[in-house]
Amino acid sequence: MNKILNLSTSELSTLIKESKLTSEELVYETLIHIKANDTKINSFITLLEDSSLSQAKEFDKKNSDNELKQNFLSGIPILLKDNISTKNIRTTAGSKILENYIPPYDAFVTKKIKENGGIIIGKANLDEFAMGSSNETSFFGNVKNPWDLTRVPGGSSGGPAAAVAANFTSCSLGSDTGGSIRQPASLCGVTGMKPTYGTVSRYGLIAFASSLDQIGPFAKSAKDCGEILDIISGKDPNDSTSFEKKFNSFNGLINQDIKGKKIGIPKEYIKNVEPEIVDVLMKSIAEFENMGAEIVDVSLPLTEYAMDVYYIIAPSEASSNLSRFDGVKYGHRSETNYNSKASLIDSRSQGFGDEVKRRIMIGTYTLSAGYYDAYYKKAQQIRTLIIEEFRNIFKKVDVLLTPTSPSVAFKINEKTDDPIKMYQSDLCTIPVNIAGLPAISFPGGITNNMPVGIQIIGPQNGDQKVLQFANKFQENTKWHKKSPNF
Amino acid sequence: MKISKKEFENIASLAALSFDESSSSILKDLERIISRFESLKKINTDNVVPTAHVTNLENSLREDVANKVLSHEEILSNAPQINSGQIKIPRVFDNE
Repeated sequence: MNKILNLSTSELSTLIKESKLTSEELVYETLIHIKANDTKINSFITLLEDSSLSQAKEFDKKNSDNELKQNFLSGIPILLKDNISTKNIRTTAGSKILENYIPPYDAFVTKKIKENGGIIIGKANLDEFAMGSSNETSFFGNVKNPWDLTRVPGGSSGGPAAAVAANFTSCSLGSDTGGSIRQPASLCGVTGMKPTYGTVSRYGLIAFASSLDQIGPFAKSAKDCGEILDIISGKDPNDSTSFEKKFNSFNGLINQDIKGKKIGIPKEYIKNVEPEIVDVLMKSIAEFENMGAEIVDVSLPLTEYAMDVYYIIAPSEASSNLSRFDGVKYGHRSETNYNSKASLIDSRSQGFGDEVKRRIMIGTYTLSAGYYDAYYKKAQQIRTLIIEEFRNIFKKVDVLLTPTSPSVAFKINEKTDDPIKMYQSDLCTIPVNIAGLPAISFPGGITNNMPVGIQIIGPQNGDQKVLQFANKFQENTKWHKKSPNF
Repeated sequence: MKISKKEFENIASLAALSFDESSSSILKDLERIISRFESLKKINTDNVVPTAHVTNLENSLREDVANKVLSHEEILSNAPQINSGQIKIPRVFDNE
């Protein structure tokens, strides 16, 4: 592997701006590394070899003619999770039902990446329809963790996280419904951020649970995540839940001191977490104290109900969203052609994998006549209480610091037979989506040669604060600079 | 939480899914997961307004202007079967 592939997006961006590196060289080295080593990881569903090289050449030519305005992503390869639509490039959501689907339009974020000179190097593997915490439900095979090939990378954005850890790309985009950016970021030792709900348009993101889904970046530092959010955020008329940018720059606060700022440690987030994870958290707390932050013990008693609230709301929305896959206008259609009802049932039963079917069944049950009030409405009421609980805590503290995942990356197949055990992988990340808050996971330590992520949660639209604290930690530590040898 | 076979079949029919050999394990998972939700009854939610949305946005409107989005060809480009510029689907009514 060429040493430039160790560099962060900011470092590569500077080299390109200063004409010390061409985009073509970078893309060329990137492709060599991916082709030689992704057979071990399986982080790509589609590698865009020809188009990325030709885009890089075109960029270099325009750049040498001084025709371009340089942006952060200019000439830089970036990988998109394969539930983000890319015009004329197959987008599968990791499902057999979309195995041959070629979107006729770009997602909002895809358009933004292209407009800002980013080079889409491929489409990344994921759990089917982003439903999973280990990237084991993908129709295109599971992804392996670059730190230990016998372990999972986390999920559902396993591909985008593993690819950054393996230095296939310096940054990527994922989506986060209950932790699908932050948990794999933690398990793969990279930085990943879910912004405040509504920050990034969901137009062209294949929907899982619309009130929880949010797109966000993976990179090698918090600062780079902020730069990417500057590019992909903003109001989009095609997503009425998106809003105008709240600030000029996501990194607007990173040069400000955190001395005297208050960090809350919610005790409920430590309860069901492995001791070695708590150990890393304690060391991180000490690190923040050294930087002058004040540590405050806090309590969020409703945390223990968040997982059950989530497993009502998310499958309910999913069962509705996924009803569009009927084999009529696009997607897999069964050969059973004698009548439309049989064709519909067969197309869906053949096209969806077990976990997706399980969640559609849960959601159909909780929304069905007689159960709506007991489950869905009740869950949305508790959601209101969870939102209030967070709002009250943020009157007392600036941010919260928690573990991201209850354990390091677990073994492949360790949890596939027990869905509830698998769902518990997201205990510390789910409450954030329920309340629509911003949160980042970044490397806080290493235990038994596996990376451990810690999470900073901020108040609604406190994305700048979240980045400020994570950046300060990274200015004072080196955990985010560690790479696996695979 | 017990779910009867009849109820399971009804949910599967509403979800437009069929299960063959996997049905007993899916049923078991479903029962285990739904049983967990019982714990939510412990929380008093009298007079609590259910969340409809987490953003504080109101009336996100735009001008009602016709927009050219996708062409006819683009829309048909992913259809499993096409006939004379239209999507062909399996028959809706039986012969009888």
